[in-house]
Amino acid sequence: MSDQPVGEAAESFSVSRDEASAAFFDGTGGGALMIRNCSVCHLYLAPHITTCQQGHELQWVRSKGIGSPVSWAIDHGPAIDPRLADPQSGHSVFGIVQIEEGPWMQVPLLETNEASLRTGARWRVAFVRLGEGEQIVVFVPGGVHCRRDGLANSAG
Amino acid sequence: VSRRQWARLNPTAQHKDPLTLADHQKSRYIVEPLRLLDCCGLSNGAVAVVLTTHDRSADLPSTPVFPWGISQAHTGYDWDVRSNFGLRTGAAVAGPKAMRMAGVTPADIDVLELYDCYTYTCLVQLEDYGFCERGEAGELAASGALAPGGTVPTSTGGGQLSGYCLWGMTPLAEAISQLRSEGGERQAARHDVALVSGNGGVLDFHASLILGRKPHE
Repeated sequence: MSDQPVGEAAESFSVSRDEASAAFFDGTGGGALMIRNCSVCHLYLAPHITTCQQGHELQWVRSKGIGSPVSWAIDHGPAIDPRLADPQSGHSVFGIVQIEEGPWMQVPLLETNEASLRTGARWRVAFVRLGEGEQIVVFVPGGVHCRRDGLANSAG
Repeated sequence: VSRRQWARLNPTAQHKDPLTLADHQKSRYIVEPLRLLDCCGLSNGAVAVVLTTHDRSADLPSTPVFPWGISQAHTGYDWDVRSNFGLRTGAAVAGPKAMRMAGVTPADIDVLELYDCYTYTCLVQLEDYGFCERGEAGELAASGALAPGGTVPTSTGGGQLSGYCLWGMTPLAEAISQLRSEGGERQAARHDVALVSGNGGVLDFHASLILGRKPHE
């Protein structure tokens, strides 16, 4: 996993933390993708999930930061930030990535190419700081094939 | 393409130029895979709907239509491998409930007025409401069933994609016109029962309404 930002600051768009997202952005600031975990149900959950379906308290845990695209779309309009756009086409790719622990993440996909933009491909987390705001999570191609049977939603 | 065929019969429609699948394929991408012609436009306009009792409606100058069934579903989605996001919407829950209340099935629906903000949202609703099997909506649309003269007259004013985009009022107003026999050239042959749908959020919220030309027995 890369702990280094892959982009420089942009002034046009930034992301700010609030009380609910503080722990998440503490993580991204330190180069970690933080997700939720229910230690009773043995479930990992996406960062924006605040309650276990059974009502158990959730903890923040660090993800391995490895995943595979489930679905994606290519925005042909003006990029919200040039750091999120392909330098050649100017298009921005946004996708749903299933991380190895099980949850889905809606994230920008950077450095995309024909070989990497497919289900089953292995991607890894990276971070981009937009403007003066928080570092956000992006995913970049990880290079080797991802084992689909390794994608589980259980901590056990 | 089916909606454009309907819109060409609707004097109040915004987009009436002939449209082919080739025209669609030539239109530019907005967010790939959705092209310009997969997306509804924006309209300036207004629709007013008066709700009153059956008794009072008898004295009004306009022909009343009657609610037979209504339901809403705000289903939420798992955000992991168990998710049906994009594959199944609240229509799959609200639709059967509204139809049960009305005592009808998809086979009894004469006109289908869908909330068609994108071509895709029409397709997923056709499957959710049970007008075809899962994964077969594209084939149903390609068969011409949704177009004038088809077996499932859908978005008969051209919908939001070709008619006009007044959000949930677009399908509701068209359903009322059809049930009142005020459709003019686009009047569906059978128009006793209409299904109206409404979507909100990113497929987060859904409402279904069954309207009848006569009071519900």
